[in-house]
Amino acid sequence: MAKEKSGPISLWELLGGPEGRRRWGELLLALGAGEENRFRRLALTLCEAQARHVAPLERLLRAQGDAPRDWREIPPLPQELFKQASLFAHAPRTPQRVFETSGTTARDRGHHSLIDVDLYRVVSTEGARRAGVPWEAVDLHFLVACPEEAPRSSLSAMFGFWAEASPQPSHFWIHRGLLDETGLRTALTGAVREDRPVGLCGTAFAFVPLLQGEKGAPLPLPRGSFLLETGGFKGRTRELSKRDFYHALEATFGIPASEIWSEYGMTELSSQAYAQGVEGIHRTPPWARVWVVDPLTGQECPIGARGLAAWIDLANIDSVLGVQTQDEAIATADGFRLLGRSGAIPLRGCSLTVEDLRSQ
Amino acid sequence: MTAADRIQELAPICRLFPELGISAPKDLRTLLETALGSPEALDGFVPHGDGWSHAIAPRRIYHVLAGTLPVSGWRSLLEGLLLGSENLLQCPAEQQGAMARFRAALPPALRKRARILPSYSEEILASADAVVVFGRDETIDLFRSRCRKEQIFVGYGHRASLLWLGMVRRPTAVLAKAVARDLTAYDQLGCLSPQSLILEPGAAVFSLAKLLIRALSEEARARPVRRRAEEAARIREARTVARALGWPIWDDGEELQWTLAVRDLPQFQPTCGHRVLYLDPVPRKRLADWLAPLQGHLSAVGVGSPLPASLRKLFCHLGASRFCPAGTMQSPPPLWHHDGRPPLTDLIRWIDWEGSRPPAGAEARVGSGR
Repeated sequence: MAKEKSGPISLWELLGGPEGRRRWGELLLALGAGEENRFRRLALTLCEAQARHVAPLERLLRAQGDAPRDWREIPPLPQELFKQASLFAHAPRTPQRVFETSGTTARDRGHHSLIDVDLYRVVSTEGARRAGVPWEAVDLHFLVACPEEAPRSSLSAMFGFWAEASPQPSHFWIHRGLLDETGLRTALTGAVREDRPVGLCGTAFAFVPLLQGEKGAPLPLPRGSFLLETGGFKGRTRELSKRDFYHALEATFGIPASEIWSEYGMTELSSQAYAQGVEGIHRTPPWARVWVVDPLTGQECPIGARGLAAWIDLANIDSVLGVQTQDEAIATADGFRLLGRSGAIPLRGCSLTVEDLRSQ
Repeated sequence: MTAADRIQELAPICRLFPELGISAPKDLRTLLETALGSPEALDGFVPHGDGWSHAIAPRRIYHVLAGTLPVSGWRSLLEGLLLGSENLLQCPAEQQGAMARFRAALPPALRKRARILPSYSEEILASADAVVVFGRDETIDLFRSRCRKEQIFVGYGHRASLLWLGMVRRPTAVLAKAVARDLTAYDQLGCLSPQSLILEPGAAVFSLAKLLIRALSEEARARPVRRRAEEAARIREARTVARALGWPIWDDGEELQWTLAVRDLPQFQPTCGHRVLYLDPVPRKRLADWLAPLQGHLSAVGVGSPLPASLRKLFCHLGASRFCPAGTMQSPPPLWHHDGRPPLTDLIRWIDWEGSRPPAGAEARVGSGR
């Protein structure tokens, strides 16, 4: 393991250069699922290094008093802080990539700056591989814009890594914000005719026009195909339960709802969690943990209880490793069941909200 | 039932719901007199200039209520009943209980004229001759687009209110209590709830904070709020953000009743509510830019120290429709111009009869004219 002060080079200096980042990536990939102690050591080391360069994290640690002795004691930073502050850990260096959260105005967007995307590439391809998503075995069709068209989208970047690493052909079907439905249908029909399995991946909202009962017709995909959705319907005018959505996908593409993949990731993170099926349990790769926090007590929820998902992501080396989300989840023995955004439409009186101002 | 009858029937109900700020028949009469000149104008022709006028209330009003605060729904229903209209209420689930309680308190003749709808009804909306909507701008736009041209439409959008304390140098416990009163009512979720307490650099921020901590603690003890998980999440997030950004912050720990932080923001941002109050020291010359995000959304300004004319103009320009002493923000008078509009008048259509006598068959009503 890289040490924080190994000779004249600090861990931080190491993580700022290509060789150190490559070695850190190797450490993460070498982590086993049950290696709690190694995970804890790496998390505490990374936290200490980040706190020296990310003032908001340093302040939260100071407010907490005692230094964390366990990864659960590392304060996760709210996603909101990615909108309000710079959390780039390598300032004043210039980040190679800046990913932005979705939002209609600049003040609505969170920013996640990365020195480079090499580690993101490694963990987002390996994470999906270990989860069992068969992305390397089939033609890939992405219902997002390509990375060149959407350079600030971390999701496009991730699918771009899959496309680069896969030996099979791949296509991005959103152009200038619009789904090329005709092109996609033609491609899928061709795949069906040739019996070539495909992987259809995109945001839940992007699937809607393809669903049977919308304007789409059934298009059973060849055996070996898979569907992967991400993001739910948060922030959209259209609301559809996950159950109804998965059954509509099943009816349209002939892939059982129980086999549909759900990816859970976010701009502010580098790693992802995956689940299969309507009631699927999301699981993280060994280099990340999600724990469910009860907002009433601020403590970790017991198994079966509902709370908000908080992440520790050891691959998030360029900002902060701990991120507190507003996503509701139920803690399970070996993961969590994701329920969706908490209070997407806040229960308010007639008072103006941040969302109102940001939607202007 | 005449307007006078309705006044008599409604006044005792108002006393059961003190949040309405109406306690006597005279308040209701004044409300009608201010809007119509004479309450009797609703019952028939009253003298108007050289002729006569008759106020026609909507036969049926469709109310779309929003959010967690029942008081705006009660007031909207009260106004509809006062006018003699039939009232159909589309309420979010959280408000159904409060509206049902209000309806149940009505005497049978008026209760018949108020109905809580189980859900949105396109048919009933179309049958109404007036539509009153409370909610987000998108909600208002949506309902406006669903209305016919000839339907009266009144929309009340979301607003934010502020407290102005300026260059307060010697804050007092009385002032702090007044601020705490404004802040804690309705858990800071109303459009009249202060979202920011604006100070000028040089004000005694920390002395004020010290007094506010005491006042907020007392309010919290007297009127604690049982927190729901989503409220707790927002409060904790606001606190963490404040700490992470290095803002001075005080709170009541795990009670989650109140939070006080001194912000350093380039521009105004609303609070999450739930008694999270921000003290915002902003130089006067920067205030217009700082408040720019509020353009068109400002509602009330609570005033806790002398307000310069230039700032009064600025607040008016931003949309302010009410200035009041700190401590009274949450109790507007019955004649309050909600969103700058006179009560009731938007719902009324007038018929004029030009002649020395009222039309044949129509009884002239005793009234003072308009």
